[in-house]
Amino acid sequence: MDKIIEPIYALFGVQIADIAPSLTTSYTALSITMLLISISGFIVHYYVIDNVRWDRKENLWTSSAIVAILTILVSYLLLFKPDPAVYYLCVLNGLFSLILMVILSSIPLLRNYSTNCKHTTFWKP
Amino acid sequence: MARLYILAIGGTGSRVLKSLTMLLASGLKPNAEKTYEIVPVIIDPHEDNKDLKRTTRLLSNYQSITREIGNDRGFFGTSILTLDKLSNSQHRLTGNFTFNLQQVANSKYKEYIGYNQLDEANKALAEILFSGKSINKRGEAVDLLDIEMDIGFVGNPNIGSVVLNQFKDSEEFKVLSSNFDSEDRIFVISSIFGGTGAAGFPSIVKNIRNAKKGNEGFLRNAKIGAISVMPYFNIEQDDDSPIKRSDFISKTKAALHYYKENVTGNNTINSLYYIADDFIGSPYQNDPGDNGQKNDAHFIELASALAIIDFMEIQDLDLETIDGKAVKPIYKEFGIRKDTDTIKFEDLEDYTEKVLSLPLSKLAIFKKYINENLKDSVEMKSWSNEEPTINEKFLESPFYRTYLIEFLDSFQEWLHEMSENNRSFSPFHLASELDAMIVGKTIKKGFFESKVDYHTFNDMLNKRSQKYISKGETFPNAASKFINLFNDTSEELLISKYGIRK
Repeated sequence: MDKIIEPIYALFGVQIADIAPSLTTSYTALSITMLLISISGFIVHYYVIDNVRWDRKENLWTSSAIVAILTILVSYLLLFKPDPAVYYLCVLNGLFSLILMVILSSIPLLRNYSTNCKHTTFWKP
Repeated sequence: MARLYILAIGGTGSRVLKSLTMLLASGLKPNAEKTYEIVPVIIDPHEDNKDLKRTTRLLSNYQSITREIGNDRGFFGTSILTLDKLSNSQHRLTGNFTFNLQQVANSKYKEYIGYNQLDEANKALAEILFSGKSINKRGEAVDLLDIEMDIGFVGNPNIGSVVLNQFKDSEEFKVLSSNFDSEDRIFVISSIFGGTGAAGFPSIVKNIRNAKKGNEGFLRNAKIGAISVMPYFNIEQDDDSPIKRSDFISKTKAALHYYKENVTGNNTINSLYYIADDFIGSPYQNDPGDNGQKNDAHFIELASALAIIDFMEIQDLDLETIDGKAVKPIYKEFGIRKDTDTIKFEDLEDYTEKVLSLPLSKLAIFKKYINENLKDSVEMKSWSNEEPTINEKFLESPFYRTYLIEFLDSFQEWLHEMSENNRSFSPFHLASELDAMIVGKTIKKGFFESKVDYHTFNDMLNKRSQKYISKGETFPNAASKFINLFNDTSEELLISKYGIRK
């Protein structure tokens, strides 16, 4: 699994082996963390909160920002090393989660069963 | 579908018809097996009467709305037709709701009866029958024979009864009689203390009952209901005006005495409703007709409109007519639970409260939402983005901008006038917060229940919109969706949060 995900991180100039050769945290663990937090964030926004007071694009931006920050924090907890390269990796993971939120929220089918946020995307309303 | 022909005579006729239109718009339907199309005909020589103009405009907007949404339930769920829609090409009728009285405009009464062509004996008879004074449209005192009839009959039923007798020869009556079916009914609205209504009611009913046999056979044995509106408002004392409150009671007594012999006494009417109010409130402007006659809406007119709903609920069996006579004539009056100068829903009798509170509250809350929240929600909330979408373009459409908004503005004005009148009917605080808008209704609040605001309303609109989709319920156009969505959601909101009974 690592072999599939590693090139994606490598595209952005990240090599965990270079940052922390002794770390046991794999690419899979980082990416699964990012995926789980993003999907959970999406579900919480669209299906748990699903509130008429929280149905604007600005609200989705806020939810996504929270998801990204959470991803960064959890990623850092997994790596846990005060190193600029680690910070960069964590921020990158957060950015990935943000991109994933954009992708998930752009698929109408995934929003279809939300009552109040059915038409909420990053761009409208 | 069966039809109810409503003959609304005079200013009171127009105002009661306006109240009925408001009730029908709010979704009030008679609790009867049959459904009716309503065919109103306003009979009033006073074409500049502002109450008449307001009512015809209202009816016209109502028609335009129903044409767009095609509803048979909820808001605007009853069809209102003009007579010309029933007529074939040989009858030339204008497509409005008024009965075209011939030779009345710019005509003096003496010209109408051909006074100058009469011999001396008949001239003398006419002078006896039509003695006395009245005023013309410039407010000058004139002999009764010189009265100009385009401001009405100025409280002179003796003139009205002659002029309105032309009803039987009119195109309108021909269309009515040739389209009248055994299932159809007729309802006559008139006041008894003025000129036009008091005169028109017996002569029109007589003309219906005396309709020739043949195609008009159903008409002769038609199920006829009527409301006779007795004095219910006060007017300013004006020594120069022929209209005086002190005359109201004597005119009513005289008319009732005549009806005893010629209407009720010979079982002409199947169901006759009487209504009056002896409450002496703030007086109306004393306007014999020359200033356009615009009276504020009054609760009595609303209660009179309920008589029409009640009439539609009566079973055919109880309205049997043989040879032009009602077999079991019915007489009804109206009352309220508490004699108060400011009537609220809880002051009405149980059944009246049940009939009125939900539909009127629905339309009032719909209007309030449009006033205060619609612009913030369109293209923002889920319900508005579902197909067919309620978008900015919809808000610019003639349906919304002209017909619906104009109608709902009239509804708000009507509620306001009733609340300002005296005695007043004031069940709403339209300027208050949403959860305080119905007087005497407190919102159910619990630990997990938040207050009722526009977020609550929008949440329910979204849920209702989802429900339509899951049930496969579709709408032909945005107008239809808009009206039905708000009808269903406001009903749910009022029942679940305000505890209003269905």
